[in-house]
Amino acid sequence: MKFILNSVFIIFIVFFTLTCFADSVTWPTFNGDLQAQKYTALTQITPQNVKNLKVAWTLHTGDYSNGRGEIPATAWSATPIFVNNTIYVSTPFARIFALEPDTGKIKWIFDSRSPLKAETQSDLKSRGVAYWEAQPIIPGEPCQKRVYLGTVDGKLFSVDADTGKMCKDFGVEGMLDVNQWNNHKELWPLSLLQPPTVYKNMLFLGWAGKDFWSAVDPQGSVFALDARTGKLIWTFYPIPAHMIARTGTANVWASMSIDTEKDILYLPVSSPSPNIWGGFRLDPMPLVTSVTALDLHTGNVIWSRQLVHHDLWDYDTNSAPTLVNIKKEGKIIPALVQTTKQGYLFILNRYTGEPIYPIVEKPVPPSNAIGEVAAKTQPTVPYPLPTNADVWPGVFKLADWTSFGYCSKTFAKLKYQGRFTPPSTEGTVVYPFSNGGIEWGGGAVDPNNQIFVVNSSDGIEIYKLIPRAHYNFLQLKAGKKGLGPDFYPMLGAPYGFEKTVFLNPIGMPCWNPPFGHISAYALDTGKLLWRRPFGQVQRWGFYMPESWGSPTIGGPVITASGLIFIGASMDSRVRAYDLKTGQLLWKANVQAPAYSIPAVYEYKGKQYVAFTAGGNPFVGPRVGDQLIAFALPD
Amino acid sequence: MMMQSCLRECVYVRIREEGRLGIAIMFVFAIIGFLISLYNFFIPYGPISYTSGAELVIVTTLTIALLSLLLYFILETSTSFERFCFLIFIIGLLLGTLFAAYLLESHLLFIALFGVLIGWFIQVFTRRVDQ
Repeated sequence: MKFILNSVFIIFIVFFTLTCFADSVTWPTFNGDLQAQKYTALTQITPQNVKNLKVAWTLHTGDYSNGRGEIPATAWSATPIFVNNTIYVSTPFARIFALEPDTGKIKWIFDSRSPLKAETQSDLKSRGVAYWEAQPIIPGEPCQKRVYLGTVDGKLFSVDADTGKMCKDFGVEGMLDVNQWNNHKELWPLSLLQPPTVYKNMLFLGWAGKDFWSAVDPQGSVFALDARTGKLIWTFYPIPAHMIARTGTANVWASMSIDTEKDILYLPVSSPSPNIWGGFRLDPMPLVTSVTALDLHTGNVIWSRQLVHHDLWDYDTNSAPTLVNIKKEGKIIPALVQTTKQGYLFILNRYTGEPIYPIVEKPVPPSNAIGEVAAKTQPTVPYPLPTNADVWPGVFKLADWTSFGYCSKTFAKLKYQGRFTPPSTEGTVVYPFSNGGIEWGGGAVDPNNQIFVVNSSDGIEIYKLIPRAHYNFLQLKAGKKGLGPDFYPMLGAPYGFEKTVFLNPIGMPCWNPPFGHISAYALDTGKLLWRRPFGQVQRWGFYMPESWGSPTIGGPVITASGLIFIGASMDSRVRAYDLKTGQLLWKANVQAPAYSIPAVYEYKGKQYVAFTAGGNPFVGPRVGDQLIAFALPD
Repeated sequence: MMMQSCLRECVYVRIREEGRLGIAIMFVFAIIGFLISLYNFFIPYGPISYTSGAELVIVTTLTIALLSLLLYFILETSTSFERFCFLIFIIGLLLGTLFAAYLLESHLLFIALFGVLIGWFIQVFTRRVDQ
C-alpha cells in the first residue's frame, strides 16, 4: 500500500512539474547555454511572421547616467537571463531586477549598494547575472536557487533567486570579496563586470581591470569557487610565476564556455600589461592572449593556443569560444570557434587545440620603440575569410573633403605597414582597432545547419607612444584636469600612450565605410555565405546611409526557425535577419543602442525576444535603462 | 454655413487674388512641420528625441514659418528684389531642412516640408490676379 501511495505521489510530482514547465524554454546564461552557441530551438517567430512582432512589455530600471553629473556614465550590456520562471537582469548601478517573464512586472529588486564609481573602467558597466540551483532542491530551504552579481569593486553577491535576499552561507554574510586575491590591491580592484560561469556546484570567475595603467598590474587569474560557500577551489594564472614582477593582467574579462561531456572549461585569455609596450615582458608567456582549455575540476591546462604573440595592440581574446560539432568530409569534429579582435575565426579541435582550418604564421613589421622586440611572426587565418581585410579601408573622401584634406595629410604622417604594425612614437595606424574586429559578443551558431553568424566593426585607431619625459611634461601642463580619456600612463614603462579613433575635426571617421558588418559562414566548408553592412551610424539624431553600416558591440542570437536577432548597432534599433540570405526582415526602435546579447525564451507557450538598451558612451552619447521584450500578438 | 462661406469668400479668395496662396500654404505646412519637430524632440524614448538634429529642425521649421509670415505682410510693400531674396533664402533653408528630415528618418516631417515646397512653387510660379 505504501509503495502504491509513494508511486502515486511521485507520478503526481512529475506530472505537476511537466505541466508547469513544459511550456517554458529558458535562456539560463549570458550566452544562452554553456557552449556559447547563442542558439534557441524555438520556432514560433519565423521569417514569415517576424514583421508582426510587437512590444510585449518594457521596463525602465532608472539605473543610468549620461556622466554629466556626479555619477559616471553607464554602459549597460547585460543579457537578461530567463530561468526559474523569472527574468533576472543586473544594472550598471549593481542592482538585480527579478521580473515576471510575460509582463515585466517586478518581483523583487536586490541592491548591492556598491559605490557608484567606475574604478577600473571609464563607465559604470554590467553584463548581467548568473544562476545556480541545487541538485536536488530541498523544499522549504532558502538559497536552493541563487543569482550571482559581481560589482566593479570586486564583490560577488549570492542572492536567493526566489526572494532576493542574500544567502548568508556564501562568503561573508552573502558577499565574497574577490579582491582579497588581488596581488596589487593598491593599484585597482578586480572588477566583476562579466557574470560568473556556473556549472554543477562550481562558479568560474574572471575579472576586468585597466591594463594601460602601469607596467606591473594585478596578475591575471581565474577562480573556481564553490557555488554555495564561495570557497576557493583552484586558481589559474596565465602569467608564469617568474614574470609577475614585470607584468600583469592577462586576465579573463569575457565570458567562458564549457564542454559538459568532458568537463573542459574554455577561457579567452586577454593580453598582458602594459598593453602597448612589452619591453619588460619579452620572455615567452604562451598562455596569454590565448584560448586555453582547462580541466574544470583541477584548473590544469589541457591545451592552449596563443592567438597573438607578444601582443602590442590590446588584441585581447575577448569572447567565449563557441563550441560546436562540425560535420566535415563525413566526420564529426568536436570544434570551437574563437572569434577575435583581429577579425579572425580560429576554428580548432576543442579537445586538442589543433586547427581545423589552417593557421598561417606571417612575418610582421619590427618595432623601433626603445627596449621593444616585436614578435617576428603572428598567427593569421586566411580562411574562413576574416571579417576585416588585411589592409585598412583607405581614406574616406567625404571626411577628407569636409576637413580640407585633414585625413589624408594625417595618414601620410603616420606609420602603417599593414596588420600588426607596432605602436610607434610618430603614431601607428591600427586596423582593426582595439574594439575589434569582433567584440565580446562573439558569434552565434546554428548547430543543425552548421551556420556561424558574427557581427564585426571596421574601425581605425592611432596608437602613439609618448616618451616618459614628454608624457610627464604633458601631465604637468594639463594640471588638475588631467590629460583626458585618450591618454594612458603605463607607469614604469619608458613610454606613456595616446590612443585616438582616427576622426576628422568634425568627428567623421577618416576611413572608408562600411563601419560594421554582419557575416554568415558555413562551418563545414569555411565558405562565407553572405556579408552585409550592419546597422546604421546615428549622429546628432541623423541616420547615415545603411551601406555605411555601424560599429557594433554585442552579439547575435539564432533561432531554429532561421532568424537572427541582434541589437549591437549605434542607431538604437534592434533587428531580425534571415539566417539563410542575410535579408533584413524586421527592425524596431529602442531607447538607446542595444549593445548586448538578446535573450530568446518561451513562457506559457509564447516566444519572447528581450533586449537591454543601455548604450555605451564610447560609441555614442545616448545611454538608457530600457529592458524591452517583443512577442507576436495574441 | 454663413461662417464657412465668409471664410471662403473673405480669406481664401482674398489670399488667392492677392497672390498670397503659396505663402499661406508655406506657412501652414511650416507650422505643421514645427509641431512635428517638437513632438519628435520631446516624445520620451523616441528615436531622435533630445538630439541636436531634432533641435535643429525645430529651429529651421519655425524660421521658415516666421519668414513666410513676414513675406505675407511685406508682399505689397517690398521690392521684387527683396521678395526674390526672401524666397531664395526660404528655399535654401527648406531644402536643408528636407535633407535633415530625410536623415532623421522623420517621414511625417518630410511630408510636411514637401507641403512647404509645394507652397513655395505656387508662390513663385503663379501671378497675382491684378498683375
